Amino acid sequence: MDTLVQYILDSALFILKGGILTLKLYFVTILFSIPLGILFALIKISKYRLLRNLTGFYTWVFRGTPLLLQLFFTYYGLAVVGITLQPFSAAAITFVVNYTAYLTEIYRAGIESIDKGQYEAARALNMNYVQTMRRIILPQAIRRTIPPTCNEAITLVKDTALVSVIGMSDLLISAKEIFARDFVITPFLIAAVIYLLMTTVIVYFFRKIENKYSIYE
Amino acid sequence: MQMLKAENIIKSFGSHRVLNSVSLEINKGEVVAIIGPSGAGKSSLLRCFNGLEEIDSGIILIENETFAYREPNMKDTVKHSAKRAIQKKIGMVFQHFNLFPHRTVLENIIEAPMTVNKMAKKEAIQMAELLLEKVGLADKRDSYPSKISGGQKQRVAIARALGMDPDIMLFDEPTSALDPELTEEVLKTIIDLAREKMTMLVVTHEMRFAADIADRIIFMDNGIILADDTPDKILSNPNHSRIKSFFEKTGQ
Repeated sequence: MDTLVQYILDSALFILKGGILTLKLYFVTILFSIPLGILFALIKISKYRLLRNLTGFYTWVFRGTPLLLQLFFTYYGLAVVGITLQPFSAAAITFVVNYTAYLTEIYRAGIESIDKGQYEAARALNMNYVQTMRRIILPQAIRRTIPPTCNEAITLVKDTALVSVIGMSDLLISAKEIFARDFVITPFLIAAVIYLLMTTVIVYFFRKIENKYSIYE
Repeated sequence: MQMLKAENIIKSFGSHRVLNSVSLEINKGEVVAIIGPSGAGKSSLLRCFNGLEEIDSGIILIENETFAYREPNMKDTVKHSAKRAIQKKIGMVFQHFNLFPHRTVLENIIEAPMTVNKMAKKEAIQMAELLLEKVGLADKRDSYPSKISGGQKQRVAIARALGMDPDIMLFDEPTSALDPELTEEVLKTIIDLAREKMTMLVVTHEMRFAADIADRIIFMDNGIILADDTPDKILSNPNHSRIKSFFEKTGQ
């Protein structure tokens, strides 16, 4: 019994070491793609047609092609034309660009769902565009987009497993290494539990934010 | 003293002309009610007066300053910054209140004075509390709009508009979205303002209210002003068949 517990602990520790990489990638992606998503959403509803079209093209490409392909492209593809990136940089850039594309569309929809009476009230009170967006529209739009953002945040946890294809030892690869050595099912179960724990924490966290921002409803 | 003057206002939405050369003047301290069937252009006219709609041609003066000036097929010659400065003098109350749902009653009122006029928070709160007192909602200062009644919402909206210290208040059907038993409290608030000699332009369907508080009633139909006279003259002796039939239909 002791040896089994010891084995699980050792395996978990080893897998968690890979998990650090997963977490790093996770937070970098979240930290950059949420603000960038809001920024691009604002561009996408702006009056500047060229910028609008460019953003539209961007979300079309990155939502319309596999994340795996984008990852290959950034790491292997760019190397061919002389741009060599460290695996982590390549992964981080790809994830940020990919997730920003999805979040852009989510926030755009959120902003467009706000009643035009809100703009008119702000206008009638002499607020300018920036004040209106920052103080009136965005707080309401972001509140409405918490649930879909949470969805993306959960998907991201699992998408991080893709980095194995560019040779990075993340959580899942660490589990697979133990499996390859010992040929037992335990490491996969441990990995599953860790993924579940992570998503549970994320759901809990978003629920907290949602409650905080829904006091006015 | 002249507060607002509009000359030959023309406004179309697509091919539909909603204002067909409308002219009117409002003096300081005057209360003017605009009545007429729906689709007459009442709300559009009001919205032109605070810049929510751009006129196609005509001229609008607020306290003798040009707020909008446009020749047919030309651009408006008034600078954006000048418009904004003049617009500060114009308060607006909407049919559907348009309160900021994520802000408390108090925060709704202090928002614009603080962000636009850079008023200190303490000062803004003091002012907001006085305004809430005035509209009888001092006890609701920390409530969110979703937690108060329609009539209370509209009174908060009035207080919010007053927070910018306007010289003229525009009301766009302020009681149309309210249950009958809630209209009274809003009308009372507007009557209080009339007593304080606030200049007001009120688009309304409440004929009795218009007759009671308005110095003048303007009757609009099909984008033109059919009559502009004292309530007595308009209500007791409508000189236009269109106005007569409107009163007959609405049973007033």
